[in-house]
Amino acid sequence: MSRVATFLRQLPMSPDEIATKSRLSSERIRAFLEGEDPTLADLRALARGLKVPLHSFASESASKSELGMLFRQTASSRPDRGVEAAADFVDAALRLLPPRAAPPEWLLVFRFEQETYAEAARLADEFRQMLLPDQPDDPLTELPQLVVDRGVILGRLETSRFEGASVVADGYPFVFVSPRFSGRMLFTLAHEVGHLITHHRGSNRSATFDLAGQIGRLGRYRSQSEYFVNAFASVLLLPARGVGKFLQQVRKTLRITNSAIGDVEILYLSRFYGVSFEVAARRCEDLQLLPSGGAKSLSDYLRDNFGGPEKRAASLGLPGRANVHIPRVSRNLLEIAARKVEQGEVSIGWVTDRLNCSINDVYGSRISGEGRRGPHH
Amino acid sequence: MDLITDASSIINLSNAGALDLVTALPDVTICVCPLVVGECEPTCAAELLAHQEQGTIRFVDADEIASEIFLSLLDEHELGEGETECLALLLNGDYSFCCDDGKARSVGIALSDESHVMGSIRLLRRAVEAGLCAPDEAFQYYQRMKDAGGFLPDVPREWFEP
Repeated sequence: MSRVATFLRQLPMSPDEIATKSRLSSERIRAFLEGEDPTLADLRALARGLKVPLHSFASESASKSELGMLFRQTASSRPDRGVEAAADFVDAALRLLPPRAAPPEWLLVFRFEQETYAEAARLADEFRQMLLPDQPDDPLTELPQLVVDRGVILGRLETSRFEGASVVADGYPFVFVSPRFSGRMLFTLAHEVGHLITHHRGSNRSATFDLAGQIGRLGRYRSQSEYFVNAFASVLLLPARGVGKFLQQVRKTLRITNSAIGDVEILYLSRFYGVSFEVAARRCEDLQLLPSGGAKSLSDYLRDNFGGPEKRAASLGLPGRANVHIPRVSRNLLEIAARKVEQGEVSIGWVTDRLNCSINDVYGSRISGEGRRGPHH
Repeated sequence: MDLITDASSIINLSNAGALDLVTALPDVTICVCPLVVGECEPTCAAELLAHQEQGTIRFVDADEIASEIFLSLLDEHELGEGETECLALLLNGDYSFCCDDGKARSVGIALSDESHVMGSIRLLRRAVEAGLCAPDEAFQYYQRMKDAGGFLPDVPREWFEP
């Protein structure tokens, strides 16, 4: 039996369902199941429709990798191309990286009793103290580089319904962030770092996948653990004293005398700390600078009257956010991958397929500085 | 010679601004799998499409490749999908293979023979032999490819002399 027939027969789907998903005819699918060899174009259509990588068809072990199964169990059984790609990424990374017996020590030192706001705030302060001991009030727009410097491996979560993911596997911490606007990505990263230090401790392999609604939303959270890491991210990115000092300065500069905090100050705050308006407003609410529900009201007001906070900020001519650069693959992994390519242990095509990056990303890791982003000429 | 060229070589040549040069080589048709376009960054992809339109690069039809051969090569050698596509074409005997990746080239040589496998700098040397550029220019293209991070061997300027 052909590899494709073997793969298709294992799916819990009828030939017609496979045909619908892959946009091939039912007759073609039945022919493949009978052993006819598909063309490469057919194979691509099947991979796209079934949301699996092409190499899943190559060997049985590829589709049954331990990490793939763990990720699928964690993220629910509905197929998701981004989840499969993240499993591939971690699998590949573990083949490239040297074996490690335990996660970095810093990942294990953050302890908490209960998942309360106060505990999350304490952990966020301790974490910030570890990252930037001399800058307790400053923006953390350098968070991607700071966590990479501490050994976290970053990747992108693309073509996925999930917005962020955190994984600990064989001693290595990973965070995946879906490409969005920079304020959103920064918060997602902080949220996933929160999971790393609180929910993956003591486990050799564990993973969390978060939908957009679980990260930094204004309403109530369905789970206490999501509430906890959102609080962690919020305090980490918007430290209480820094927020207070900044708002005071803005109000003084703009000569605002009204005692209530308004949308303009919060827009400034969001730009300064590199987060979204909603995250900044929610933090003000948590700090009791806004009444309960005030963040949502202000957000609705801006959406209804100005088309949203970003449009309002643009109309006011506010300074832009600092750019938050989350690479497709962090340099700490790319440099190792490039060395393995140079030594002929793996091919550059294998690296780019599995790590979901470009050949120029790998080339860029071999040259000094930030690396190249486009053609040389 | 129909030269199936993978993304590592195409991107190296594009990074050095040498695609126009090698597509002008007499007796060599640069062939690429459509997948390569997706692996390139926008400027390089646009260059490829422009060359295709001018007829100086030929895109290979993915239907030329049988999936069973492709999957068997993918399983056995654990290369990238683009590299494996090229090897599947090399196996059917009508193509030579241009690639700047060490592992993929080794597999190519094992499946075919050394005379059918080359890298981008061999194309630069052929350009010198064909009188399309001087050895100094070829050496500069090579240096640009290295400076952009390409995985290329260390060769002196003299290597490009005919």
